[in-house]
Amino acid sequence: MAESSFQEKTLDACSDPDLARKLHRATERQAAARQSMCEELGDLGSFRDLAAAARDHALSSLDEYLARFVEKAEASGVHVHWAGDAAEARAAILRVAEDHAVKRIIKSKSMVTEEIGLTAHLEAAGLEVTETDLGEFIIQLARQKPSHIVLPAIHMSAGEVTRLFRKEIGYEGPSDPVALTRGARKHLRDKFREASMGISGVNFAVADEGCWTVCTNEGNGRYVTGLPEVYLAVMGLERIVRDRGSLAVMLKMLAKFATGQRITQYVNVNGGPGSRRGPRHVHLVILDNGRSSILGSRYWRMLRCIRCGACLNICPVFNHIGGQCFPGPYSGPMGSVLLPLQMGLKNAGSIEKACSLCGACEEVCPVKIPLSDLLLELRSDAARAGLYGRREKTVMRTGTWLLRHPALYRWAQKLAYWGLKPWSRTGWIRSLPSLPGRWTREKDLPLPARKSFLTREKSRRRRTPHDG
Amino acid sequence: MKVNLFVPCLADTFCPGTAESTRRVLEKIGLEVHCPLDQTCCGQPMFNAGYFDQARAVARHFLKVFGETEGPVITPSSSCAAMVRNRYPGLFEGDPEGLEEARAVSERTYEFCEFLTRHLRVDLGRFKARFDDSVTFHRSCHFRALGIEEEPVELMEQIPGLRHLPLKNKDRCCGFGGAFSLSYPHVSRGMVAEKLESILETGARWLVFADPGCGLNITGYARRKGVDLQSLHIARLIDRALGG
Repeated sequence: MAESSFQEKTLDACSDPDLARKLHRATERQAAARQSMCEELGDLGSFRDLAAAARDHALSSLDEYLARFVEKAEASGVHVHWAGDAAEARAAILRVAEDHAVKRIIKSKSMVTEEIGLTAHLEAAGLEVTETDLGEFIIQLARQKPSHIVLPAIHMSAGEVTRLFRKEIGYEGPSDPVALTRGARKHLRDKFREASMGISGVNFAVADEGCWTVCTNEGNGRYVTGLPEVYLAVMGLERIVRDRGSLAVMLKMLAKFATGQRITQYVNVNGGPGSRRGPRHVHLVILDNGRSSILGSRYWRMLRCIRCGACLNICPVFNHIGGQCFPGPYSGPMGSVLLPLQMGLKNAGSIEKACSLCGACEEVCPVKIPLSDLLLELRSDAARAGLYGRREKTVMRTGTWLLRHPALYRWAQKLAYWGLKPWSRTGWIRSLPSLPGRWTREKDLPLPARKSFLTREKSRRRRTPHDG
Repeated sequence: MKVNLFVPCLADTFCPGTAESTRRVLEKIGLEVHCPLDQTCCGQPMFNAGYFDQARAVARHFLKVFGETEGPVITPSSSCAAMVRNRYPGLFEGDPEGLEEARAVSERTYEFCEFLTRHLRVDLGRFKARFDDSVTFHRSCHFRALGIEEEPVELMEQIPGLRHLPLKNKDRCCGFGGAFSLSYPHVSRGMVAEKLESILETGARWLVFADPGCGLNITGYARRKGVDLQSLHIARLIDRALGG
């Protein structure tokens, strides 16, 4: 069952003594950088309003803007492919590679290609695919999935990466991050040279211009989009912004909220093939994969997401379990909403329940996605569909009935006291069976009061009839 | 002024002293406190678990009980206050009559610290308060939902003798989250362990919290770990400071 597999994975994650420490160290650094950038921004509230409005505007006329974007892109020589789902996208991309007789591919970091499982598909077809973003390169060597949408390898220490590099790429240098980066760079240099196709994602696609941006900090993105003969970009169909003005706002917000930078180191603006430099063939795959049905649903605000990862960094749950437990490439608060919408609640395995509703994510979201509200709506859908089981439903119904009948409820409180009393010696309970046992597995539970406050009030008032 | 005491079900059941203190503090600062005896719960447990129909049924009972009252409705829990104030209107969307009843009550529902600071602008120093010890404060998540920032700490700092030692990541969730702590007990444990560590780091003699749920969670874990943690709900702290 899907639920148990996510649950089990969170169990494993929580029993790893180092994971939370590694996650905290990375996410707190990012969050602090974001914080200082936001202070610099001054009126943060207005910027968030502006960014959310820019996203909403594009989403409200998405069909129109997509059509305008595609028309402009095609006019500049881009071959546009529409993909309804992951399988269609994978097939379209493989076809492009085959048409151009490609053997070796370099990739820059792209969550949408993770979403469609692209690398495995291309490798199965006999192509060599190399991730060139350092974090992605590491997890590709480790044959793992990203643990964070912006920082894919934060679950690994420098020591672990050193051992991996020694084994996989014959690295012989010391175990410090600078030397490791140099080692990866040396290894990747030849891959850049040999590849005849580059694949990237898309951060934003500008409707008025027919161009799109790829933001990277390591410079690998420029090689991927500019060096090989064939360049292919994959974008989710919601990535549209209207014009340069909106793009400026979004780039600013993305850099600040993702990595705490004023602007990402390399912002490449890509379009059709140029006459002298750059790739000779440019392809763009526009992916739906559930997005248009999200747009038409009460979950549409999720499509505002710009994948900055600020919600992951601040999420107390994420900081203890990391991203690898999640049943897809997205994780943390945004993943907990997006994955059930894309894969179906049942297949996503109750990840919408893995949230204490603390609301920290909404407070940092640059485009003001009401993540708690959306998680609650998902829970409501799951409960209605009976995915939470009969027992839970019975507990809820019984509870509701009691809470509507004060006299019976008081009686049930008393019963709880007398029923639990044998389990408690000191006013605290260490171990209980069944559902309450899930609490006592980790924490002591105080014995309910012998007389609840309202019961006491009632007898007090009987003694002093004029009160209240 | 006449106010109505809205008792969180967790306080009612597990820590009646918190409700008792809330009432006493409100009385000590000169308010007339009415406590409707038929109240049970605001429906938050059902709502947060996704059982909106059940939450609505419990909310109807709450609105029946508090709809008959007049004046502010005060509760020593930010999450209960947020449930009534922020969630009730949405719960009755598409039911104009229910919505009107919900609005009428939710607009006058306040969290305890919020009411004391923002609405009464109370100065505890004037009431001969005193608490000679060091405390640290865990800010419950739902203060965020209510837009309350430093008010609870400002309230505590009005008490002569009290030394407030700030808590690292004071507004990070302690891992309670109602049903969350039952659905993912191990994740909840990780979160509360982190919270306890920050609390102990401050060296404060008392942990002060403002939601019964956070209190149950943090003290329950501390006890399990054999850590001797002294803790008080903020209403109990003020009650003590005012002479118990």
